[in-house]
Amino acid sequence: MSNHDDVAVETVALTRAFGKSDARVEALRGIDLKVPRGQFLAVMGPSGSGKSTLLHVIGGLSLPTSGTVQVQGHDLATLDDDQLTLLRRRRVGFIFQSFNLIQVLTAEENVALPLVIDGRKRSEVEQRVREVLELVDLGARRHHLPAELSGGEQQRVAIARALVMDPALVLADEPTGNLDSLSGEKVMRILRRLVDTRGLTLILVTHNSRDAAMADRLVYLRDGRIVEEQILSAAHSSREVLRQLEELA
Amino acid sequence: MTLSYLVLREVRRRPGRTTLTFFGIALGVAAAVSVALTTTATRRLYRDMFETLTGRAALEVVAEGFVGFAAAVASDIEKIDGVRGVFPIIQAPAALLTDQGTAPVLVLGIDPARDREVRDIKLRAGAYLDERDGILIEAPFALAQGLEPGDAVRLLGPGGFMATEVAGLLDPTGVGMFQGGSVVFLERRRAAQLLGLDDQVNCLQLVLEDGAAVDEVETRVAAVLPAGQRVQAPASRGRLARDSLLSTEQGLASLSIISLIAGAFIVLNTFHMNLAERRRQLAVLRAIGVTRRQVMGLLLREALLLGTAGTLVGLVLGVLFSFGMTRGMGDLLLMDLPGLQVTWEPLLTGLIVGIGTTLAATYLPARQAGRREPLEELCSHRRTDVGARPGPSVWVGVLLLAICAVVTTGFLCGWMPVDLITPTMAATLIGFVLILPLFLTPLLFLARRVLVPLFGVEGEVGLRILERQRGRTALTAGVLFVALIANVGSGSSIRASVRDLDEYFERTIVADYLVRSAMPDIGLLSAPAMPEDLDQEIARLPGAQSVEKLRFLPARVGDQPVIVMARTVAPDLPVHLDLHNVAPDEARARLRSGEVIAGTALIQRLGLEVGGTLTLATPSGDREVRIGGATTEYTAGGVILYMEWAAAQELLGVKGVDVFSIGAAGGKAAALEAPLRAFCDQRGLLLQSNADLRAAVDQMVRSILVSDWVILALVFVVASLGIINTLAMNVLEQTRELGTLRALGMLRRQLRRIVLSQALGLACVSIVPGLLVGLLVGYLMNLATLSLLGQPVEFRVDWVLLAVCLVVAVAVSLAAAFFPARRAAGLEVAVALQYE
Ligand SMILES: Nc1ncnc2c1ncn2[C@@H]1O[C@H](COP(=O)(O)OP(=O)(O)OP(=O)(O)O)[C@@H](O)[C@H]1O
Ligand SMILES: [Mg+2]
Repeated sequence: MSNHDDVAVETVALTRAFGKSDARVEALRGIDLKVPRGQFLAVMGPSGSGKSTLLHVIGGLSLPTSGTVQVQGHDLATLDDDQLTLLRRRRVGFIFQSFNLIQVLTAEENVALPLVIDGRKRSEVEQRVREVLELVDLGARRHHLPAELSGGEQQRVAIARALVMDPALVLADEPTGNLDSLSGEKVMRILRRLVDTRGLTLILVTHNSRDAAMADRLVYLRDGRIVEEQILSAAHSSREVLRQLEELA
Repeated sequence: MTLSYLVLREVRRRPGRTTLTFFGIALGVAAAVSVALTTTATRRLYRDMFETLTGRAALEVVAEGFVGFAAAVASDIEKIDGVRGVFPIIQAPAALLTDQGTAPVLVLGIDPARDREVRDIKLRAGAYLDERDGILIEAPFALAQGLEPGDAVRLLGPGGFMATEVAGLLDPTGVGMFQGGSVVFLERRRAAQLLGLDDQVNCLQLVLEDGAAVDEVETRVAAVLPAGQRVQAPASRGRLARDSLLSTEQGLASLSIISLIAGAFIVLNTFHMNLAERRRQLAVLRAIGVTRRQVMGLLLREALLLGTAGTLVGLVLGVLFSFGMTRGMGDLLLMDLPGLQVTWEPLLTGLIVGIGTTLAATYLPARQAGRREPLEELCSHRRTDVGARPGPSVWVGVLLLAICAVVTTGFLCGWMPVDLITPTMAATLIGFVLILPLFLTPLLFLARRVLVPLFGVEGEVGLRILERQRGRTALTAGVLFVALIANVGSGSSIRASVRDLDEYFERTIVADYLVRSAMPDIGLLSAPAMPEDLDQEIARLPGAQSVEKLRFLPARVGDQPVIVMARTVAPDLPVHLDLHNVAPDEARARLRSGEVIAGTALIQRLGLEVGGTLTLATPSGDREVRIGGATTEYTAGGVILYMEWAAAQELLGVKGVDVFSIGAAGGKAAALEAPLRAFCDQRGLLLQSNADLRAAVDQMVRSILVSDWVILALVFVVASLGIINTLAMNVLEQTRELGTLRALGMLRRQLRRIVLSQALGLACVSIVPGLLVGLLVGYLMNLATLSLLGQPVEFRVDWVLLAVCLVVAVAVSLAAAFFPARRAAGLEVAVALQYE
C-alpha cells in the first residue's frame, strides 16, 4: 500500500444492510471514501441516510455487509475481535451524540478508563487525564458524576475520553446535537484546534451547517450513497460556505 | 390496541427474563405445595389409622397404661343416656409369623356378631369371622406375605404363640403402613388369650345416640367408672404420635417457608428491575396521558399473568415433587405411606400464596412507579438509584427482629408455644434481609478488597455498578443471604442434634444382643410383646450372663401422655443411662426402691423437680411417684419415665416384654451368637447384635444428614435461579454501558470479567453476613430444642458445613454469571449503543 502513510481511512464499495427480506434496510449502498491523514471531514445528510452506520463500520463497531474498510492501513476484515478492539482502544476515539458516559464513574474516571483498560501506569494515567481535562476546560468538575454535569459538560468529558489515548482518528457522531449553540461552538473549536495542532484525522457527522463549515471537506449522504462532495478551503468566506451548504440541504 | 396488549408485548419482548421470573415463581410454589402435600399425607395417615381403630366410636373407655380390665362395667355404661352401644375390644400389637418371616401387626379383638355396628370393613375374599374361625387381614398385606384364605399362620403375643389360619381378606384400611404390616381382626376371646389378658378387654368403644352431646355423655360415663379407668375421645391417643412427628413437620414447614421467602424475593427483585428498566417507557406513557391508576393496573396485570402461569406450573411440579418426598418421608419414618392423595387444600394454598406473593411483590414498586413525576423520569441521565438510602423497610426489619428477639426469649423461657418457631424463623429471615442495606457499605468495602486485586479494572467497574445500585444489590444479595442463613442455620442445628443423638447411642447401646419380635413403629412406639418367661430360656443359653426385660408402656402424668420404660434393674449391673446430677449406683438404688427416672424433656415440660414427685395415672387410680433422677432421652421425644420392672408391674400391670437385652459373659459375646440365633429363628424372633444396632443408628444418622444435604441443595437451587435472574437483568440494563466499554476498547473477555466480578461481589456481600447470621439462627434453633427435648444440645460450629456453604455460594454465583457474561461478551457494539 503506497499511500499507507497518508490515508487514515479508506472504504471501497462499502455496503451495510440490516434485517432480512421484507424488513431489509440498506443503510449503506456502496460508499467509496478516502480520508487523508490530518483531514477534518464533515458528513452531512438527512436523517436515516446512513451517517451513523458509516461511522460505526469505520470504527469496527459493526461489520460491513460487503466491501472493505481500511483504517490506518489495516483491513478491518482481516482483524479478529481482539485485534479490532486493540485498534479501537489505541488508535480511534469515539464521540457519541448521546455522550455514552459510564454513569457510575466520575468525570475523571470516565476519562481515565481507556488508559486503565490499557493497563497504563497510575502516574501516567493521572498526568494524561489532567492534561486532557485542561484541554476541554473541565479541571474543576473532575470529581463529579455524569448525572451531576450539564449536557455540554458531559460532551466535553466524552471528548476528553476520546482524546486521552492520543488517537490518530476521531469519529464524532453529532457531538453538538444535544448542546446549545454556545457550548456547541466551544466543542467545535476544541476539535478544530486538535486537527490543526496534532495532525488528528476527524470524521464528524453533523446536521449543523455551522459545524460543517469548520471542516476541510464535506461529503453529503442520501439513501446510503455519497451524493455530493466538496472541498472547503480556508479561502472561502464562512458566509459563502454556509450559503452553499444550505443549498445542498 | 388496549393497554393489556402492552403487557403481552412486554412479556414477549423479554423472553429470557420472563422465563426466569416464571420459573422463580414456579419453583417457590412447587416447594411449598409439595411440602404441604407430604405433610398432609403423613397427618392423614395417622388420622386414618385411628379412625379404623375407633370406627364410629365417639368415646372410648380405657384403663391407665392401656392394660386389661374386666368388661363388666360395660353393662352400666350401656344404660347411660345418650349411649347407643358399648363394644368391648382388645387392641394391641403382636407379631404374625409366616413362611416369609415375622411381620408386626396390630391385633384388634372384636365381637364378630356386633362389630359391623361400629366399623365398616369390606371383605374382599374368604369369609367373615362369624362364618369361619381365624383372622382377617388386609388384602395388600396378604399379597405381600403370599397369604391366601385358608393358609395357616402363627401369632406371637405376651400370652405365647397361637396357631390359626387366614379366614378372609379385607380392603385396605389405612393401617397398612403399620411397619409394612397390617391390622389383624380376630375374635375377642382369642385375642385375649394371645395377649395374656384372660377374660379382660383393654378398650370399650362407645357409639352414641344421634345428636347426643359428647361432652355430657363423657361426664356421665366418667361418673360410673372405677378408679384407674378413664373415658376419652379416641383421637387423644394420637397425640403422642403427633408429638413425635412435630419435629419432622417443623423441618418441612421451615423448608417450605424458606423456599417461599426466597421465591418472593426473586419475584420482588424481578419486578423491581423490570420497572427500573422501563421507567422511561412508563414515564412516556404518563406524559402522553396514561393515568397513575392505569400504569399501576398495567404492572399488576403483568404480575397477575406471570404469577398465575408460574403458580400453575408450580402446582404441577409440586405434586410431582411430593411423590418423591412422600417416599423419602416414608423411608425416614420407616413406614409405608399410602399412595399420595392430592387434596385441594394444599393446592389452594399454593394458588393463593403464589399469585398473592407475586401481586404483593409488585404492588409497592408499581405504586412507586405510578407516583413518580413523568418529567423527572424523562431526564433519564439524572436518574438516581431507588434504594440508595435505607428506606422505611430497614426500620420494618429492625422492628421485626426486635419482636423475634422477644419471642425467641419466650421459647427459651418456655412461655411461648413451640408451634410459633417456624413463623418466627421466617420473620427473622425477612428481618435480616430487610436490614441488609444498613451493612452494605462495609460489606462492599470488603468486596472491594477481594475484587480489585483479583480482577483489576474490571473488578473496579463491576464493583462500582454494585455500589451505585445499592437497592438492587441488597435485594439480589438478599436471595443468596436467605439461602445461606437457612442452610447454615438449619444445618448447624440439625447436625448438632444428630451428633448429640449419635453420642447418646454411643453411651447407651451397651447390650451385646437385643431380642425382639419385630422392629417397633417409631410413630406409635408400639411393638408386639413377647412372653415374659422367655428370659429364663435365654439365660440358660451358653455364654449368656444377664438378660434384662424392657417394655414401653403408654401412660399419663396429669394430662400429659408419656411413655413408661419398664426394665429389669439387676442389683449388680450398671445402669446405662445418660444421667444428670445423680451417680449411676445411686440411680440404680432409687429405681429398685420404686422411684422413677424421668426424661429431661418431661421434667422441663411439666416443670417437675428431681427429688419431688409426679402423679402417674394407673389402673388402680392416681399414684404419687418419686422422681429419683433425670436422664437425657431421645426415645419418644424424651417424654419418658424409667421404672423398675417390678414397680411397673405393680403400678401398671405390665404383661409381655418388648425387648430382651442380653449381656454376654466376658469374651463370650461371639460364642453366644450362634445359639441365640438358633433360639430366635426357631421362634420367629428378631435378633440384633450390638454391631447391628450401631449400624442401624449409623444408618439413621446418615439418612438424616443426607436429607439435610438434599434440602441444602434445593435451597441453593432456588437461590441460584434468583441470582441468575437478577444478574441477567443487571446485564440487560447495562447493555448500553457495556457497549460503550467495548467501543472504548474493552476486550470481550474483559466484559465477561466485569459480569463475573459483579457476581462475586454479590457473593461477598451475602456470604459474610449469611454465614454469621446463619450461625446465630442455628444457635437459636438449637436453644429452641431445649423446650422440645428439655435439654440443651451443645452447639458447635460445624466447619465442614460452613466451608461447603461458602464454596457452594461462590460457585452458585459464578455459575449464575455464566449466561449473562456470555451475553455481555457477545453483544454487537453498535446495537448495544442504541439499546434503550
Ligand atoms: N440496528 C439496526 N437495525 C435495523 N436497521 C437499522 C439499524 N441501525 C440503523 N438502521 C437503519 O439504517 C438506516 C441508517 O441509519 P443511521 O442511524 O445510519 O442513520 P443516520 O444517518 O445516522 O440518521 P440520523 O441523522 O437520524 O442519526 C436507517 O434507515 C435505520 O433505520
Ligand atoms: Mg445517526
